[in-house]
Amino acid sequence: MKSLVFDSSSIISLATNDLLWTLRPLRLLFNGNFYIPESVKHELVDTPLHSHRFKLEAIMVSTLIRENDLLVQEHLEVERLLSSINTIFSSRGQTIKIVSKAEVEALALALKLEAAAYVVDERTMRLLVENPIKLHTILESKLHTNIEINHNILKQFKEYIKKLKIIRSAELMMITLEKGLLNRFITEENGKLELADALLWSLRLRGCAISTEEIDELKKIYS
Amino acid sequence: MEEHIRNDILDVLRHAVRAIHREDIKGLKELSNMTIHNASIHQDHYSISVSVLIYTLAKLYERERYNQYKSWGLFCIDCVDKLQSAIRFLELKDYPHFDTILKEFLNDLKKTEKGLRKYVKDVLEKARISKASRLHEHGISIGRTAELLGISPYELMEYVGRTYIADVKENITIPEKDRITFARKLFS
Repeated sequence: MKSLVFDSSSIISLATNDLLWTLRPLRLLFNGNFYIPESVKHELVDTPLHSHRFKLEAIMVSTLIRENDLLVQEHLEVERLLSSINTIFSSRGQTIKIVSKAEVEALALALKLEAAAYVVDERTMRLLVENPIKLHTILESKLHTNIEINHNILKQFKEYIKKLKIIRSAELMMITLEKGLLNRFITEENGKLELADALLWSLRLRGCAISTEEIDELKKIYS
Repeated sequence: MEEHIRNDILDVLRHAVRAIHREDIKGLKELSNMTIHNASIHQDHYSISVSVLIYTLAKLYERERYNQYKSWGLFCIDCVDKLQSAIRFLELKDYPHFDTILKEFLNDLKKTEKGLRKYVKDVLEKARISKASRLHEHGISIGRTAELLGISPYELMEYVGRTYIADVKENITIPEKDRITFARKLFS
């Protein structure tokens, strides 16, 4: 059965925009399963349940899990992969840990399941998969220092992830809009384009790493 | 602690004491950014804690209304005393005591007079998120940054979304029309 794997950032974008409910109709349209790894569930549900902030979001995500709209994959062994990724970049001999275990577990799960796509909203993982040289540029320009790349490890990593495709919550929500799942929000005053603008900016303002330029491009597609 | 990290932190702490004496709030804020580079590369808790601490002090000193609290004067004297103790321990490379004073400083910030305490806790929490956002801007992932600063990824995403981090030109990797075309195929 085909699958999509989500990391914490994409679920957070949807949760904080009250769009988690779209995952069920999307899953049915997709005709497959949506997954998160155990460590992502821990970040999204277990930890915030013990505080006041984001407890509601945690409860809503746990409901999705209970109702099988999000399936939790049990523990994956990713220590070697995590260690490997976190040695790609270094400065003056000091390796730079750029990603967390949960993010790597989601990546590993997407590859293990041969997922149709990995849904990730935060920037670093996406850049690492799609264009690590751009990530290198950001590191160098912001840290004002020479950043070395371990080309052997990077080459192995690129080989490992070569079939992986990434989308963001932004693209998912445009599909939701296209498929008519948000039609009740379209009125004479607020047409489809207005809704697209509202969706994209809301996702962006709550952490989805989609640029203004990309938002404008998507809006042109819908105008 | 690596020698260059020690020297950088010493530099920041010494300048911080001078900035407080001169009431140079802008200088204090700039100082909090100086340890971010080390924090991003080495991800040592000293660089991170010092950055959060200095930024918190800058935000507290910036608000004149805290003068209304009886304990404010003592609070300011205590801050400078603690900074000077931290400097002494670091000069002596007494890392256990430096670590203790740093932790005490951050904890004691939350133990002031009741009215002031609420504001201090709020400022300290916001300082963590602000510094986390800077780390993420430097290229460290949301998940890793949240881990390092001890904050929730929910909080960090919320903050990062209101910055211009996503508009950096390197953010665009695949043309958006290609990405949406691919997404459409998944649901066709």
